[in-house]
Amino acid sequence: MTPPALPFLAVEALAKRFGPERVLDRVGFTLERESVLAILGRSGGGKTTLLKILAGLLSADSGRFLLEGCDLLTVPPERRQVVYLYQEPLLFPHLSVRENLVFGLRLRRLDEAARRARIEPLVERLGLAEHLEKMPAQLSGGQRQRVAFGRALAIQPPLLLLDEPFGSLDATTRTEMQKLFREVARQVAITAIFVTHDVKEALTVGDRFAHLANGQLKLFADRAAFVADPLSGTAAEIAFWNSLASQTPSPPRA
Amino acid sequence: MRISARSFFPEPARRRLWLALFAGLAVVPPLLGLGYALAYSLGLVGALAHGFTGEHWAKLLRTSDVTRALAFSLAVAAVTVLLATTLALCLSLALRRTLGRGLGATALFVPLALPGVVAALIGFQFLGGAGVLGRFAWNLGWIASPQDFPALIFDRHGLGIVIAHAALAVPLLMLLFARLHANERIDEFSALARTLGANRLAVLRRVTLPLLLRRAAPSLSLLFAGVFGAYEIPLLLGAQRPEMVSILARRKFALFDLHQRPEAFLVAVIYATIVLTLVFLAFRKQLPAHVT
Amino acid sequence: MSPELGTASPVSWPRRAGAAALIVLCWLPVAYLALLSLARDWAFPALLPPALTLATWQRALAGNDGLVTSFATSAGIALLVATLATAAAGVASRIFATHRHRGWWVLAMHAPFALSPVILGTCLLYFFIQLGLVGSAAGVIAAQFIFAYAYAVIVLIGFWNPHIAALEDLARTLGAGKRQVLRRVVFPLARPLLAVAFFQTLLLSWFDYGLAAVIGAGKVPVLTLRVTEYMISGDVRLAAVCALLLIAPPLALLLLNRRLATAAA
Repeated sequence: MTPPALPFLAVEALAKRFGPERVLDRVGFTLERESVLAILGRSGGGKTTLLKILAGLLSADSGRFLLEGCDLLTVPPERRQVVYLYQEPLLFPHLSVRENLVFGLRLRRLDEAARRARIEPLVERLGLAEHLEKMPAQLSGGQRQRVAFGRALAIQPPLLLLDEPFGSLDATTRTEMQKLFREVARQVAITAIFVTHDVKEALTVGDRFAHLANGQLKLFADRAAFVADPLSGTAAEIAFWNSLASQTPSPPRA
Repeated sequence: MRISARSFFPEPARRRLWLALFAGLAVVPPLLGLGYALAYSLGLVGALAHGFTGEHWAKLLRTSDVTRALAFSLAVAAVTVLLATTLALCLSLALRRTLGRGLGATALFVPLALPGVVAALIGFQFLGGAGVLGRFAWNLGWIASPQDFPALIFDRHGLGIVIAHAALAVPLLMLLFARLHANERIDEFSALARTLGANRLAVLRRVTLPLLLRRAAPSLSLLFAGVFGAYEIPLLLGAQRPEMVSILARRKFALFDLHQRPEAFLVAVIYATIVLTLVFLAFRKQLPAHVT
Repeated sequence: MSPELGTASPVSWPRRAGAAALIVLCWLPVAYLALLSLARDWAFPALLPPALTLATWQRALAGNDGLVTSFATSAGIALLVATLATAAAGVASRIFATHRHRGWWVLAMHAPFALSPVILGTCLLYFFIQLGLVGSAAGVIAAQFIFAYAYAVIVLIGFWNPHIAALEDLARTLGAGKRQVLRRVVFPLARPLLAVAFFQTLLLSWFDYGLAAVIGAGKVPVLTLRVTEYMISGDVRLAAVCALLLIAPPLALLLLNRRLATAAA
């Protein structure tokens, strides 16, 4: 009988305190390759801390973070190959869109041809063709977030961490970006952890689901379990829209 | 979100060492100088030191040239700051829009390129009896000879010193007020106050001036400290008596009569105490401004 | 009749006249110095010099009075002080900015300015004598460095904000090592402010009189000392030439790039 394969990503008993406050309390979960884990939680519940620890920008007090069997907690951020996307689309203000996109590729010393080959399909998919020579200040919020996304994907990271990336966008753009993310994630087959406070967003982008509150993480077996659980708030949302529909009189037939 | 210094100095011990070094570069020399000055004024060190003595400090209680110099310098500094601030505020508020761009704003930067010695030279040439103003007065028939021109330099009241320092400060303050006006969104607050019923004078008194002066306080206190301890302009435009603090300190130090040296250092200690207190009070509000 | 809020009122002529007068007043000192340096026998009560001559300038630039040497000395000292101070302050500002008590460190940087240069120089003279630095350019540089460094830290510390920190972190997750982060992200963004700090410290040293007089003990012939020399000896025309040599470089730089003047005030 073959032993069970190691999960692609495993977080075990991750803990972090800031002074007296226990921001992360023995957080653990696993994730398979090429799937997106959507973590739902309110602001301040520890979501950003968790992502920063996984990215290497903060240290954990205890626990393990295994990617393909290797414990990454002792590896410095530039060698982890785990890219962290902020809520604000942080583009380097002194570089053009093209230069932002190839930033990671330049660091890896890819030559001109290789760089172009890498980013061309991304530019296509993300609709950035006519913005390549512009400076970040000339772009809208949604466009900037797409560039940030493309920059991260260009280096083909094994793991992508997204910290409410569409939070600063207006409702329409946000919906477009959620769909775009879903498509590109499938096409490029990335593994990602997506953190959000919006249950609709979580349901749109996620394959697996979890809820983080007061430093404790609850992983759900599947989508149905997530929807059914009151923590997700799905039932409350449905109830809200239903009550609205029943109160509004249906328009008279012409 | 804390700014992370981890990328440079991961080990806290090494970081503390560098912190001490870099802080020391700026803090140790003044502390060393002040310590030495205090010790000298108490007779603990120095060419003619006998050991601890309070006699030099006791001399202060009887009016001496030290107290006179301190009082004179404080007065000159206060008058300069008052004069320069008032002028700069009036000019800045009145001409803010006119001087917006181009020729006007560039001109204000020219005085920034004038150091104390050049201002003293200009002051000497303009304010002296046989100077530019004196010649105008003679040609207009107001005076009969250079001696009749009122003494604006080398005078007992330090008029020339005040005028020279104020002339240098006004353009600087105008630029400061213009920048603060924009940054603090004074126009928006004024408009808001108008909609709440304030007239032009009320807006000035309750919105514009308080906001501007509050933000400019640190710079104004540094200007005060600068004039208080000025050297070049008083040296070249000031009278023998009364002296300004820096001149007195230098004179008493460089004299053949070494007995006067402790007084030079005494002056330094008092001067530093006053200025440090002033700077601390003015910058106190900015202390909690660490990044969290 | 007050104009409607928000619309630009036509500028009245008293304001225009006032602005014009101010502009003239600002340029007057420089214009006057230029005239004085070119004047021949400009005695009371003449309002304008009877004749102009290049003799004073020729004499100054010929080198016999050592003005060219003074210019070079001042320039050399100023460039050295500015380079050392800006470099040290660049690193120091980063360390202070990330500290919990950032505000206290900024306040501490004002310590040198609590003493006027002359007074600090006099108080430290004993130590400079012990170190053998009195009467040498090295001593003047060391003394000026104290002030220049502290001021540069005050200027540069404003650069380190959460935004820059986030950009640095981001670059690291994209694979940049510490040195690469500095080279590709931090330096390009810090360049404008570094230029301001360099210029301000340059000016601080170039215009210094007190420290050169006290620590230099008159043996370091910087331009500011020469102006005073000529003023005291009564040779105002040579003093004017000296003054113009002193203010020309900073004036040119300022007019070329006004943003060099916007510092921490």
